[in-house]
Amino acid sequence: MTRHPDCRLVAALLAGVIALFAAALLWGETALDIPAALHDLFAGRPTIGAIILGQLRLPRALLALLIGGTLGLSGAVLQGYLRNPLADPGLLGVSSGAALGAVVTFYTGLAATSALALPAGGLAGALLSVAMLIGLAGQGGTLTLLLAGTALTSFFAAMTALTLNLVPSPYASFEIMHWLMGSLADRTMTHVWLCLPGIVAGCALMFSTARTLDALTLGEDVAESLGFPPGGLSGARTRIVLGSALAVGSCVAVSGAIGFVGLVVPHLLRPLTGHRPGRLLFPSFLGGAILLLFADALARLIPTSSELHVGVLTAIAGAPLFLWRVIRLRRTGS
Amino acid sequence: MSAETGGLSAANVSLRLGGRSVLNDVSLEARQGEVLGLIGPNGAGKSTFLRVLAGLRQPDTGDVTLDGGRLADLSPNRRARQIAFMPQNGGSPPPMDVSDLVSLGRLPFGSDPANRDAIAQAMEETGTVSLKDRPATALSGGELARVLLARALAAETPYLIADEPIAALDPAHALSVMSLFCALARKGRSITVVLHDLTLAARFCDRVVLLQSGCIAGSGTPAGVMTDAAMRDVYNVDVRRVEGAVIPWRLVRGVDGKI
Repeated sequence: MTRHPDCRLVAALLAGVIALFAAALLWGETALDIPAALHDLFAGRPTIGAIILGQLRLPRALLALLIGGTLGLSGAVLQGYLRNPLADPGLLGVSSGAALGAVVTFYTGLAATSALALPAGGLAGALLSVAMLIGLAGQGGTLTLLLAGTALTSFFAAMTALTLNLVPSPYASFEIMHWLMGSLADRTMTHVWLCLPGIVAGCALMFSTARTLDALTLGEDVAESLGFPPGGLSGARTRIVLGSALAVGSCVAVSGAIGFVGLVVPHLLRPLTGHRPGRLLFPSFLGGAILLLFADALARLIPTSSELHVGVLTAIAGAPLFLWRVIRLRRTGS
Repeated sequence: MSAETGGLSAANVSLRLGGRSVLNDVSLEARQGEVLGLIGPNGAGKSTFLRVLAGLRQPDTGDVTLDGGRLADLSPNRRARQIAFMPQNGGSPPPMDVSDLVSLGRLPFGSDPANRDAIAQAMEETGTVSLKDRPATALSGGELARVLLARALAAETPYLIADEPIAALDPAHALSVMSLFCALARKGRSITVVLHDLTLAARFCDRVVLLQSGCIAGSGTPAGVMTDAAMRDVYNVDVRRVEGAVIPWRLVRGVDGKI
């Protein structure tokens, strides 16, 4: 039941992703001879151009694409499953868990011992919160899931605040504050490899729920009668919770918390996909990638005394987008 | 009634919810080629029983069988291709176009080439073709009820189970939907509907099952089940009869003592 407008939308979004990804590689503070740098990169020659392209710009662009896509996708999946347009990947408490895990590595000084300690701590926090979420929400319904997510978010946020409160050196608390704002600066291919398995597995689980999400638009009884039981071990609920938690946890572990992408992107694309939640998934992945690639390009290129954090930019951009939706809603009543 | 018979059968089904017995030893058989009406006052357990019959809820005891095999043993997709379920219309619909909403009924069939014809026919039968490009949120209650029925019919399953499908319809549309059910039954499908309109139940159902407090209070032809005494006992109303149809006419005593 795919329609041509979907193909056109996906093609347009894909073109946007490719253009912004290429721009992220081509543009930066340092002017590069791109063909020469590419040549050196593939030949394995460690020239300045090859290092800037392969070790600075490529991982950053890849992370923007993967993390933006994951946040957009998980927002679309959660909004579809919970049938609540205000659902957001942060809702399940996994982002807060990942943030706490990372903050603990700052507190304990582990973050200073190895570049990997910080994302590994974030990943451990994310996995712990996934286990707690599944333990708490179990086979309950959507309300149980929301309550469990809210409880975990509050708990982890409180623990993060406590850690900040007790942190021994002002320098560490400054580092934590900066990390919590969300950024893609100074990430390497190691960060990409670290978050990739969780993102791939999580996104695959989330994409597999597309038809169940369509069936769920008329309620759980109808979905089940159409052959898509939302509960149970193989049901959509388990795949959504596990998938979004794994993928988003992996993202937050390497980038810090980046808000609003998961909330805003599905909102903007929903009217273009006929309000079918299943058809919204892939466009939301691409839309999230576009938004984060664009925001990160702004973060790199806007001249400020210290580089802007991309998480701050998405938050700044997200609020007016919602205001625009409110104004439209009031005008059209729809 | 045995669990070994063909059709869609419930045998000795009992269910407790929140410590209260909702269904108590209920047995019935939905046969192909007939319209089976499930009637009874509010709270009699009709909707719960429909969910059990559709395989959406497991009873505490008893069993539901489809053509002799346990319904619970069928894969969700096989079951969805056999039984279409239309719940009571509640809550607001998703803001998708009517044709998209009806096409949800074909989800169990993936990208089957027959989807397009099945959707077109279901919309034709329910008189919803003219609504196809309207968002479901802009429909009246009656229009939405017909669209939701089209969604259920689009699956072209041998068994259709519908919970109060005509509750929101005006008399003309209610008559047309009941006539459609009869026509579908004549073509060999099995239609099981919960009805509160006793007049239409008596006119259009081949058989009716009367539920009271989770137990079967009567089962058989409308004339045999919907007797004056049964209506008075179960519904607390006196009825009048016009050419075989039953018309609720007067309360016997106050409902719950409040009127």
